[in-house]
Amino acid sequence: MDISIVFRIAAVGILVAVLNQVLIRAGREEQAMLTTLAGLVVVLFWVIGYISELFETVRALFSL
Amino acid sequence: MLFKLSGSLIVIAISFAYGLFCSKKDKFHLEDLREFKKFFLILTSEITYSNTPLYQIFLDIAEKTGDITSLMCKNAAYEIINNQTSAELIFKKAFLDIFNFTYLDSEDKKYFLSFSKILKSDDKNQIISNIKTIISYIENKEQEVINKSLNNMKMYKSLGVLGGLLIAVILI
Repeated sequence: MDISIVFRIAAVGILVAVLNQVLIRAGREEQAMLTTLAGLVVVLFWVIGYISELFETVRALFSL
Repeated sequence: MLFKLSGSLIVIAISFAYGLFCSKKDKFHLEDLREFKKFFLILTSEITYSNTPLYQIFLDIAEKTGDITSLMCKNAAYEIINNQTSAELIFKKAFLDIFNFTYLDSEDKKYFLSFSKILKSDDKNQIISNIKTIISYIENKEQEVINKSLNNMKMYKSLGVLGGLLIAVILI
């Protein structure tokens, strides 16, 4: 696993959190929620392969 | 690595510039509204105190106002002189021709186009009272835009930088 993905997820998390605050203070709660959702989708897209890999490993480990 | 870094910088710079442009949009809208308010105020005084023909009024206003309204008035005046169709159609066409070069919104468009219908009327007092309604609309809109712009200016600037950074992080 490439360790840089952890830093990328952290960067996205920080930026989305700041964006969220900026939008909420401007009274745009809907856009703030959409930004958070978009960030979540992007991060899920990155980690979905690793999650799948984890499940495969668990299945192989316990011979399920 | 240098390629990625320069790409990221370009993305952030463009995003920041777009944020700056969006933050200035309200200011441009306000300037256009003030320009049209000036146009309607001069038009009211011309209609009230002088008996000059409409094309002459438009030419006079063109000399006293800014680029956009000046162009609209000149076009309207030349149309009246050359085609002599109804004043309603001429003003409508002249306004729609310049509309895409302004920052006015659809609500402003609706109000200003409603002015063209007033030009059909022969009653001077009715025209003046309708122009006053449009002027009061512009004043209300000005206040609304000023209140909105204070809030939006900071937001767009922050969004520009943060959006650029987010895109750079996602694509890197």
